[in-house]
Amino acid sequence: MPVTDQQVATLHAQLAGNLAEYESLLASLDRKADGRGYSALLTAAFHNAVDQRFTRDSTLDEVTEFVADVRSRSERLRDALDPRIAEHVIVAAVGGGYVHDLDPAESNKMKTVLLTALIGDQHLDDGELDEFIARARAFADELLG
Amino acid sequence: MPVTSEQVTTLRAFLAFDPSYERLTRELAGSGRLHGFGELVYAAFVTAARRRFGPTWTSAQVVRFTARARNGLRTHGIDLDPRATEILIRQALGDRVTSPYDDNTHARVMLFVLGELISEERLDEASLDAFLAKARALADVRLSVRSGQELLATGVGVVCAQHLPVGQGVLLPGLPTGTWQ
Repeated sequence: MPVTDQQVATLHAQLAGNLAEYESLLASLDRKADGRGYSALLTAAFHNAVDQRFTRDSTLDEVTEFVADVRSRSERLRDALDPRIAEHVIVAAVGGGYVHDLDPAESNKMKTVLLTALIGDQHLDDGELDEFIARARAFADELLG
Repeated sequence: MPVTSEQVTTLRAFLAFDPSYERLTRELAGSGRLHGFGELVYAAFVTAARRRFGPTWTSAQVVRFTARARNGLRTHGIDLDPRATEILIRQALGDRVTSPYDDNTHARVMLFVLGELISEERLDEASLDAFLAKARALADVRLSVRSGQELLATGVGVVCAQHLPVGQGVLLPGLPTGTWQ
Protein backbone atom coordinates (compact mmCIF):
# COMPACT_ATOMS: atom_id res chain seq x y z
CA MET A 1 0.00 0.00 0.00
CA PRO A 2 1.50 3.36 -1.01
CA VAL A 3 2.00 6.36 1.25
CA THR A 4 -1.31 8.08 2.09
CA ASP A 5 -2.20 11.76 1.99
CA GLN A 6 -2.66 11.75 5.74
CA GLN A 7 0.84 10.39 6.29
CA VAL A 8 2.20 13.09 3.99
CA ALA A 9 0.22 15.75 5.84
CA THR A 10 1.68 14.54 9.12
CA LEU A 11 5.25 14.78 7.89
CA HIS A 12 4.52 18.16 6.31
CA ALA A 13 3.18 19.52 9.58
CA GLN A 14 6.27 18.28 11.39
CA LEU A 15 8.72 19.79 8.94
CA ALA A 16 6.78 23.04 8.69
CA GLY A 17 7.03 23.37 12.45
CA ASN A 18 3.29 23.15 13.08
CA LEU A 19 3.67 21.19 16.27
CA ALA A 20 0.02 21.09 17.37
CA GLU A 21 -1.13 20.01 13.92
CA TYR A 22 1.66 17.43 13.74
CA GLU A 23 0.77 15.92 17.10
CA SER A 24 -2.91 15.82 16.19
CA LEU A 25 -2.26 14.16 12.83
CA LEU A 26 0.27 11.75 14.31
CA ALA A 27 -2.24 10.71 16.98
CA SER A 28 -4.84 10.07 14.30
CA LEU A 29 -2.58 7.67 12.41
CA ASP A 30 -3.38 4.02 12.97
CA ARG A 31 -0.32 2.36 14.47
CA LYS A 32 -0.91 -0.84 12.53
CA ALA A 33 -2.29 0.44 9.22
CA ASP A 34 -0.07 3.51 8.93
CA GLY A 35 3.07 2.31 10.68
CA ARG A 36 4.84 0.86 7.66
CA GLY A 37 3.90 3.67 5.29
CA TYR A 38 4.78 6.48 7.66
CA SER A 39 8.06 4.81 8.61
CA ALA A 40 8.92 4.46 4.90
CA LEU A 41 8.06 8.13 4.30
CA LEU A 42 10.18 9.23 7.23
CA THR A 43 13.09 7.05 6.12
CA ALA A 44 12.86 8.31 2.53
CA ALA A 45 12.74 11.94 3.66
CA PHE A 46 15.64 11.37 6.04
CA HIS A 47 17.82 9.78 3.36
CA ASN A 48 17.03 12.59 0.89
CA ALA A 49 17.80 15.24 3.49
CA VAL A 50 21.07 13.52 4.47
CA ASP A 51 22.03 13.35 0.78
CA GLN A 52 21.48 17.09 0.50
CA ARG A 53 23.67 17.81 3.54
CA PHE A 54 26.41 15.18 3.20
CA THR A 55 28.20 13.35 0.41
CA ARG A 56 30.32 10.22 0.34
CA ASP A 57 33.32 12.55 0.62
CA SER A 58 32.03 13.94 3.93
CA THR A 59 34.12 13.01 6.93
CA LEU A 60 33.10 11.57 10.25
CA ASP A 61 34.33 14.83 11.79
CA GLU A 62 31.70 16.73 9.77
CA VAL A 63 29.00 14.36 10.96
CA THR A 64 30.17 14.72 14.57
CA GLU A 65 30.10 18.51 14.25
CA PHE A 66 26.62 18.47 12.73
CA VAL A 67 25.22 16.25 15.49
CA ALA A 68 26.87 18.45 18.11
CA ASP A 69 25.37 21.51 16.44
CA VAL A 70 21.89 20.00 16.62
CA ARG A 71 22.36 18.86 20.22
CA SER A 72 23.64 22.28 21.24
CA ARG A 73 20.36 23.93 20.21
CA SER A 74 18.53 22.90 23.38
CA GLU A 75 18.95 20.68 26.42
CA ARG A 76 15.95 18.66 25.22
CA LEU A 77 17.74 17.90 21.95
CA ARG A 78 20.98 17.24 23.80
CA ASP A 79 19.30 14.59 25.92
CA ALA A 80 17.16 13.17 23.11
CA LEU A 81 20.05 12.46 20.77
CA ASP A 82 22.74 10.01 21.77
CA PRO A 83 25.63 11.43 19.75
CA ARG A 84 27.20 8.12 18.83
CA ILE A 85 23.89 6.62 17.67
CA ALA A 86 22.95 9.77 15.77
CA GLU A 87 26.33 9.80 14.02
CA HIS A 88 25.96 6.11 13.22
CA VAL A 89 22.49 6.64 11.72
CA ILE A 90 23.74 9.50 9.51
CA VAL A 91 26.89 7.67 8.39
CA ALA A 92 24.78 4.64 7.50
CA ALA A 93 22.37 6.82 5.52
CA VAL A 94 25.22 8.48 3.61
CA GLY A 95 26.30 5.03 2.54
CA GLY A 96 22.76 4.18 1.48
CA GLY A 97 22.21 1.80 4.36
CA TYR A 98 20.73 1.68 7.80
CA VAL A 99 21.78 0.66 11.29
CA HIS A 100 20.84 -2.98 11.59
CA ASP A 101 21.09 -3.35 15.35
CA LEU A 102 19.06 -0.26 16.27
CA ASP A 103 15.60 -0.61 17.78
CA PRO A 104 13.06 0.60 15.15
CA ALA A 105 11.42 3.00 17.59
CA GLU A 106 14.80 4.52 18.50
CA SER A 107 15.73 4.64 14.83
CA ASN A 108 12.53 6.52 13.94
CA LYS A 109 13.07 8.91 16.83
CA MET A 110 16.61 9.66 15.64
CA LYS A 111 15.46 10.17 12.07
CA THR A 112 12.60 12.43 13.14
CA VAL A 113 14.83 14.71 15.21
CA LEU A 114 17.68 14.78 12.68
CA LEU A 115 15.36 15.26 9.72
CA THR A 116 13.68 18.20 11.40
CA ALA A 117 17.09 19.77 12.00
CA LEU A 118 18.33 19.05 8.47
CA ILE A 119 15.23 20.60 6.90
CA GLY A 120 15.16 23.49 9.38
CA ASP A 121 18.71 24.38 8.35
CA GLN A 122 17.62 24.64 4.70
CA HIS A 123 15.00 27.36 5.42
CA LEU A 124 12.73 26.03 2.66
CA ASP A 125 9.76 28.10 1.51
CA ASP A 126 6.34 26.46 1.16
CA GLY A 127 6.90 25.42 -2.44
CA GLU A 128 10.32 23.95 -1.73
CA LEU A 129 8.99 22.01 1.24
CA ASP A 130 6.15 20.64 -0.88
CA GLU A 131 8.69 19.60 -3.50
CA PHE A 132 10.92 17.95 -0.92
CA ILE A 133 8.02 15.97 0.51
CA ALA A 134 6.77 14.97 -2.95
CA ARG A 135 10.18 13.50 -3.73
CA ALA A 136 10.26 11.72 -0.39
CA ARG A 137 6.81 10.32 -1.06
CA ALA A 138 7.88 8.99 -4.45
CA PHE A 139 10.97 7.39 -2.90
CA ALA A 140 8.89 5.91 -0.07
CA ASP A 141 6.45 4.42 -2.56
CA GLU A 142 9.41 2.76 -4.27
CA LEU A 143 10.53 1.36 -0.93
CA LEU A 144 7.04 0.06 -0.22
CA GLY A 145 6.60 -1.34 -3.69
CA MET B 1 49.80 11.56 51.77
CA PRO B 2 50.05 14.60 49.48
CA VAL B 3 50.82 14.63 45.79
CA THR B 4 54.51 14.04 45.15
CA SER B 5 56.87 15.98 42.89
CA GLU B 6 57.38 12.78 40.91
CA GLN B 7 53.64 12.66 40.15
CA VAL B 8 53.62 16.30 39.07
CA THR B 9 56.63 15.66 36.84
CA THR B 10 54.82 12.72 35.26
CA LEU B 11 51.67 14.70 34.51
CA ARG B 12 53.78 17.59 33.27
CA ALA B 13 55.52 15.29 30.82
CA PHE B 14 52.16 14.11 29.52
CA LEU B 15 50.83 17.63 29.07
CA ALA B 16 54.07 18.83 27.47
CA PHE B 17 53.99 15.95 24.95
CA ASP B 18 57.22 14.64 26.43
CA PRO B 19 57.76 11.00 25.44
CA SER B 20 59.26 10.33 28.88
CA TYR B 21 55.68 10.27 30.15
CA GLU B 22 55.29 6.56 29.49
CA ARG B 23 58.49 5.66 31.34
CA LEU B 24 57.63 7.95 34.25
CA THR B 25 54.15 6.46 34.56
CA ARG B 26 55.51 2.93 34.46
CA GLU B 27 57.97 3.81 37.21
CA LEU B 28 55.22 5.38 39.31
CA ALA B 29 52.98 2.36 38.97
CA GLY B 30 55.73 -0.21 39.30
CA SER B 31 57.02 1.27 42.52
CA GLY B 32 53.63 1.62 44.16
CA ARG B 33 53.92 5.40 44.22
CA LEU B 34 50.81 6.05 42.13
CA HIS B 35 48.48 6.97 44.98
CA GLY B 36 47.52 10.62 44.57
CA PHE B 37 48.18 10.73 40.83
CA GLY B 38 44.51 10.17 39.99
CA GLU B 39 43.58 12.99 42.35
CA LEU B 40 46.15 15.23 40.66
CA VAL B 41 44.66 14.45 37.24
CA TYR B 42 41.17 15.13 38.56
CA ALA B 43 42.22 18.46 40.10
CA ALA B 44 44.00 19.47 36.89
CA PHE B 45 40.95 18.50 34.84
CA VAL B 46 38.59 20.56 37.00
CA THR B 47 40.96 23.52 37.06
CA ALA B 48 41.44 23.45 33.28
CA ALA B 49 37.72 23.00 32.59
CA ARG B 50 36.79 25.96 34.79
CA ARG B 51 39.41 28.13 33.12
CA ARG B 52 38.20 27.11 29.68
CA PHE B 53 34.47 27.61 30.20
CA GLY B 54 34.23 30.16 33.01
CA PRO B 55 31.28 30.64 35.34
CA THR B 56 28.84 31.53 32.56
CA TRP B 57 29.29 28.25 30.68
CA THR B 58 26.41 26.80 28.71
CA SER B 59 25.43 23.26 27.84
CA ALA B 60 25.81 24.14 24.15
CA GLN B 61 29.45 25.15 24.69
CA VAL B 62 30.17 21.83 26.38
CA VAL B 63 28.51 19.86 23.58
CA ARG B 64 30.47 21.71 20.89
CA PHE B 65 33.77 21.46 22.75
CA THR B 66 33.23 17.72 23.24
CA ALA B 67 32.65 17.23 19.52
CA ARG B 68 35.83 19.15 18.67
CA ALA B 69 37.84 17.21 21.25
CA ARG B 70 36.54 13.91 19.89
CA ASN B 71 37.43 14.93 16.36
CA GLY B 72 40.92 15.96 17.45
CA LEU B 73 41.54 12.77 19.41
CA ARG B 74 40.10 10.54 16.71
CA THR B 75 43.13 11.30 14.55
CA HIS B 76 45.21 9.61 17.27
CA GLY B 77 42.97 6.56 17.31
CA ILE B 78 41.28 7.64 20.55
CA ASP B 79 37.49 7.38 20.65
CA LEU B 80 36.08 9.27 23.62
CA ASP B 81 32.56 8.56 24.82
CA PRO B 82 30.75 11.84 24.10
CA ARG B 83 28.13 11.59 26.81
CA ALA B 84 30.66 10.65 29.47
CA THR B 85 32.82 13.56 28.35
CA GLU B 86 29.96 16.05 28.53
CA ILE B 87 28.85 14.78 31.94
CA LEU B 88 32.34 14.98 33.45
CA ILE B 89 32.91 18.48 32.11
CA ARG B 90 29.53 19.61 33.45
CA GLN B 91 30.33 18.04 36.81
CA ALA B 92 33.67 19.87 36.83
CA LEU B 93 31.79 23.10 36.17
CA GLY B 94 29.51 22.51 39.14
CA ASP B 95 26.49 20.87 37.51
CA ARG B 96 24.95 18.26 39.77
CA VAL B 97 24.53 15.70 37.01
CA THR B 98 25.29 12.10 37.92
CA SER B 99 27.44 9.83 35.79
CA PRO B 100 26.49 6.24 35.02
CA TYR B 101 29.98 5.52 33.72
CA ASP B 102 32.70 3.50 35.46
CA ASP B 103 35.99 4.74 36.88
CA ASN B 104 38.00 3.58 33.90
CA THR B 105 35.84 5.66 31.56
CA HIS B 106 36.11 8.63 33.93
CA ALA B 107 39.89 8.36 34.07
CA ARG B 108 40.24 8.02 30.32
CA VAL B 109 37.97 10.99 29.64
CA MET B 110 39.63 13.22 32.22
CA LEU B 111 43.15 12.53 31.06
CA PHE B 112 42.51 12.98 27.35
CA VAL B 113 40.19 15.97 27.74
CA LEU B 114 42.74 17.55 30.08
CA GLY B 115 45.28 17.12 27.30
CA GLU B 116 42.94 18.83 24.86
CA LEU B 117 42.19 21.68 27.25
CA ILE B 118 45.86 22.35 27.93
CA SER B 119 46.74 21.99 24.27
CA GLU B 120 44.16 24.69 23.45
CA GLU B 121 45.73 27.05 25.98
CA ARG B 122 49.21 26.78 24.40
CA LEU B 123 50.85 27.46 27.74
CA ASP B 124 54.52 28.35 27.96
CA GLU B 125 56.78 26.54 30.44
CA ALA B 126 56.16 28.92 33.31
CA SER B 127 52.39 28.96 32.76
CA LEU B 128 52.27 25.16 32.69
CA ASP B 129 54.22 25.04 35.94
CA ALA B 130 51.84 27.56 37.50
CA PHE B 131 48.85 25.55 36.31
CA LEU B 132 50.25 22.33 37.77
CA ALA B 133 51.06 24.06 41.06
CA LYS B 134 47.43 25.14 41.31
CA ALA B 135 46.18 21.66 40.48
CA ARG B 136 48.58 20.12 42.98
CA ALA B 137 47.35 22.40 45.74
CA LEU B 138 43.74 21.47 45.00
CA ALA B 139 44.60 17.77 44.88
CA ASP B 140 46.41 18.01 48.22
CA VAL B 141 43.37 19.58 49.84
CA ARG B 142 41.13 16.85 48.45
CA LEU B 143 43.54 14.12 49.52
CA SER B 144 43.77 15.48 53.05
CA VAL B 145 39.99 15.66 53.34
CA ARG B 146 39.64 12.16 51.92
CA SER B 147 42.31 10.80 54.22
CA GLY B 148 40.58 12.34 57.22
CA GLN B 149 37.25 10.90 56.17
CA GLU B 150 38.74 7.46 55.80
CA LEU B 151 40.37 7.67 59.20
CA LEU B 152 37.05 8.55 60.77
CA ALA B 153 35.18 5.94 58.80
CA THR B 154 37.48 3.00 59.36
CA GLY B 155 39.32 3.91 62.50
CA VAL B 156 42.45 2.81 60.77
CA GLY B 157 45.02 5.30 59.56
CA VAL B 158 45.86 3.32 56.46
CA VAL B 159 44.65 4.22 53.00
CA CYS B 160 44.29 0.87 51.35
CA ALA B 161 45.09 0.18 47.77
CA GLN B 162 41.46 -0.21 46.83
CA HIS B 163 40.84 3.37 47.90
CA LEU B 164 43.12 4.74 45.25
CA PRO B 165 41.31 7.39 43.28
CA VAL B 166 40.16 6.90 39.76
CA GLY B 167 42.69 6.70 37.02
CA GLN B 168 45.47 4.48 38.16
CA GLY B 169 44.30 1.44 36.28
CA VAL B 170 44.08 3.02 32.88
CA LEU B 171 46.76 5.65 32.85
CA LEU B 172 49.40 3.23 31.74
CA PRO B 173 48.55 1.48 28.51
CA GLY B 174 47.99 3.03 25.16
CA LEU B 175 48.70 6.64 25.95
CA PRO B 176 50.02 8.63 23.03
CA THR B 177 53.62 9.70 23.18
CA GLY B 178 53.35 12.19 20.33
CA THR B 179 51.65 15.52 20.14
CA TRP B 180 47.95 16.12 20.46
CA GLN B 181 47.64 18.07 17.26
